[in-house]
Amino acid sequence: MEIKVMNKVLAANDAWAQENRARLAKSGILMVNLIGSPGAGKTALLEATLEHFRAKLTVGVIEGDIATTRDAERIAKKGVPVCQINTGTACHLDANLVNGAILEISGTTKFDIIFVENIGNLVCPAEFDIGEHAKIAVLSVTEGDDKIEKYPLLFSQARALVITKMALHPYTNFDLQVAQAAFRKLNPLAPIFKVDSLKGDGLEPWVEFLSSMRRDALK
Amino acid sequence: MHEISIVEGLIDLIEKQKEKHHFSRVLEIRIACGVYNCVSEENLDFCLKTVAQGTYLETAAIKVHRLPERWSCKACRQEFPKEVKGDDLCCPQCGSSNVVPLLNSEIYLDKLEVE
Repeated sequence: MEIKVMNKVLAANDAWAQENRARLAKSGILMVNLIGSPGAGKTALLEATLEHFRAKLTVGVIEGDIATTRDAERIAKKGVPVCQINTGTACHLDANLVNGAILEISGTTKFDIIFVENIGNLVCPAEFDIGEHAKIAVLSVTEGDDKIEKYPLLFSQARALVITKMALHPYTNFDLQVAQAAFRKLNPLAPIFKVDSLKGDGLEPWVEFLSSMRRDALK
Repeated sequence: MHEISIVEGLIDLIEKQKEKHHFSRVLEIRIACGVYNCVSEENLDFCLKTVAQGTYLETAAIKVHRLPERWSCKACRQEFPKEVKGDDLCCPQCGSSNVVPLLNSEIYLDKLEVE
């Protein structure tokens, strides 16, 4: 006997994601989900971004890692509320974990933006809706321009691509035109930002993009 | 590793179907997802075999069906499959190059073969 079902497999996760979305909407918070490989420069990008928002917007950070609180310690040095999630074995953050983290860091603080730094991984985090407004793909020039075509789900879903470690670009064979063309095939509309977080280069357009997403989220 | 989360979701859905249809064995589980979903038939099958030993699910084989990629034209609102588009990124109806992919990132339990 055949039974036709056609139900979403990650329905339980999606229900939590909806709850997160509703909570964020009610409080007028933009939530951004940063996804990239281990070592792509997600934490460094966050540190540089937090500097830009200092004294302008109230920002919170949720850090996802298999183990250690190193990223949370780095973020805490910036004077920003941060919650570290250690997944132990899981290769991605799910909406339920993020729900707990939002509650933990919120307290009485009224955030404008919550950044979620997902587990370093180009595959699994892309499969899970955590209730964010936007997934952002973070790719460093040292990883190679072929990664966009190799991991198409993330790059097709991303609301923006941030290419990091641009100061190292002259020392790599990363072809910006190849990367851009590969990204455009999967994602014709999303903007591409080229930054160097340590030097602080190219951050203004990225920060302005975040600010405009925040304004849209409030509408 | 995310295959375990997917298998857990599948088992929840199949349990609900079992309450309704009272079958004793599942022979095939067909999953439908987008072309870019990182869902491997072999890995899912292995995960299911591991967790379903000794249950009504141990006879089940997982099959993954990829839903065709579809694009949408922002000029004339026509939707069309990727095959028609080719490399030139143009709408087959009006020729506009203002076309965007329709994201299909969901994973569905499509149907079950049971007895």
